Parts: sequence; C-alpha cells; structure tokens
Amino acid sequence: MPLELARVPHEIFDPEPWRGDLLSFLRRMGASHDAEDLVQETFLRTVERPPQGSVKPWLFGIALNLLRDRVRRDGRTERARPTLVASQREAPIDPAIAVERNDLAARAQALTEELPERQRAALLLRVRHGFDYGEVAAALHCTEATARQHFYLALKVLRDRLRDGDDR
Amino acid sequence: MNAHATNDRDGCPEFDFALMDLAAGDAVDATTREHLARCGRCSLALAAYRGTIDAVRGSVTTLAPRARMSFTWMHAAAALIVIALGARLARHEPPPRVVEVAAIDARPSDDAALTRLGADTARLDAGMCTFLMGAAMGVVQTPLGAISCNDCAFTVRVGPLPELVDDDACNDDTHVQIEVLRGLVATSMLDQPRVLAAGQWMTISGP
Repeated sequence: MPLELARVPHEIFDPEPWRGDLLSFLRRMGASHDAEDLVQETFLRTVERPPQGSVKPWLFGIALNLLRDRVRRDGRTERARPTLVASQREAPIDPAIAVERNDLAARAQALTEELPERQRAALLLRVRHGFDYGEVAAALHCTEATARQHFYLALKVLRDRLRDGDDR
Repeated sequence: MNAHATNDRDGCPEFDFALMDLAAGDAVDATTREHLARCGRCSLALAAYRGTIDAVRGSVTTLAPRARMSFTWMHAAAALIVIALGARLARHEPPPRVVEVAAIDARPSDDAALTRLGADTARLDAGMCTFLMGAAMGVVQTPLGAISCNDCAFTVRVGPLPELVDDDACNDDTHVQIEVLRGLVATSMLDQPRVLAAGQWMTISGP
C-alpha cells in the first residue's frame, strides 16, 4: 500500500503582519523591554492553537493575557508599571514633565497609562487599533456592554485629566 | 474620579454615549445628528471627545476649544432645552397628569411609582416624573439619594439602563438619571449625583 505524505495545510496563518500593531499595543499597555518577547510568544500560541473566528481580537487577547501573566509572575503591580516604563522610554511619560513641554500626545500617553488596565485596553483597541465594541469584547473576554463601559469611562477620565492639566 | 458622574463637559445625557461613539468614528442615527446640529453643549462635548481621541492617537498637539460652558451660555442652553421639551410635549403628548404632593407639583409618567411621604416629601421608586418645586423647600427621594430644592423644576428618571450595566465594574444595576430643566443634568450609577438648579450645584444626599 503506497504511503501518503501528510499534506501541509494549504493556508497557514501568518501572524507577521500584526507584529507592529501588537508591539505598539503591548508597549502602551505597560510592556517595555519584554514587548518583543511577548509578541513572539503570542505568535507561538497561534501555532499551538489556530485562530477561531476573527483573528484580530483573538491575537490581541492572547497578547494581553500573556502580558498579564508576565506582570503577575514578575510581581509588578499595575500602579507601579507606568513609573517603570517611564524610565525606559525616550518620550516624556511623567504628566508634569509632559505638561511643561506642552506635548499633548505625550500627556495623553502618560495619562492613558494611569488608567485601569481594562479601561486602557478598551481605549487603545478602539482608538488606535480600530476595534469595534464586539472585537474589544472578544479581546478582553467580556460582554460588549462591558467593553463599551470600559471605553466610555476611559474616554471621560482622560478628557477630564487632559483638561485639568490645561488649567494648571 | 468617577466618570459616571456627569459634569459640564459632557453632552446631554441621552446623547452623550452616542457622542463618544461618533468621536471614535462610529456612525450615529439621525436623531443624534439633528440634536447635535442645534445643541451647543453637545457640539462642545463632541469636540472635547474628538480632541481626546486625537491626542490618544497622537495626531494633535492642541486640544479642541474648551468644553466649558459660560454661565450665560448655560442658561441659554437650559432655556432652549426647556423650550424644546415644552414644544415636544405640546406637539406629541397629551397633557401630563399632575399630582399635587403638597409643595411639590409632580407630573409622573404612566409607569412611575410615586409615593407621597409627607407634606413636602415624595418618593420616586421607578419611572419618570417631573417635579415643579414651589417656593417652599421640597424633597424627592430616589433609590440613590434625595433631591431637595426650592423654586426649581427637574425631571427624575429611575430605572435600570441595561446598556450601562457593567457585569464586573458595577454591583448595582440601579441607575438614576436626573434632568434639571432649568439647569444641568446629573447622571450616576455609582457616585452620588449632583443637580444644578437655579444656577447652583447641589450634591444629592445619599440614602
């Protein structure tokens, strides 16, 4: 009986086009020197477990979970992370410094990092990565209503803090 | 800071969420667009939301014009709201039933659960009701707190808003939305709401 060679699946999922987006997202979520590692780890997971449904929220959801695991493992608290990241970046991250430089984008970045993790993720996924609420919900493993709530809260808090900085 | 608490940077409460969606790039319905075209408060709120989102995207270096209403503007906006609501009532709805609660004139919706508790006190447990306070101080109790004022008019809506219920951020799905006709609006899920009446912000005392 002739042997049949196992066929390689015709379409192999290639996560490479998502590398830049994932790196950007992870860095803004608090990853710094380990962002590249986390992206690689995310890609490895895609080999172990091919995407189900929409790829985008699935990939970002994996990356976010890996970041959470790493933060837990490293014993870093969420509140401590922005400070840690600040010392490792070129961009001004301290809100006070950013105000002095009148750099709104830097202030927004710094203030975004002070948001609770899920609010921050919802805001970034929605605003910087073009997710709709369904996709945000899939990435955060929550309901769409919850995803909306996180986004609304984040946007209002950030608006107020940016304005309050203006008033100083 | 609690983002649920409405402040003078927010749009009108019934359109505020749609404004945030619009700022994020979503399409909005015709009602919202029409309202936006004639509401200065919502226009300012939308500009602030857009400015914030642009800042997060890193695409701007200055904020949009400040969404802070001047005292005069606020009164003009409030007057417009009163006129618009009045015109709407006159056009589309039968004359409201009026319930006399001592010093308080109450105009409850059909499904409102309104109870008179005393000479100057009423309690609204569900539904919507407009209260017209006379010169004497009146008190309206709601599940989230009590509103007291004199010589003011406001509408209180008590009930769950399912789209706002957060399954992991909110322990209580009771939502109280308060609209003050001659002032501003307070909306709260978790925080104590405030009411602006007769030009004065008043904190609503908790239960």
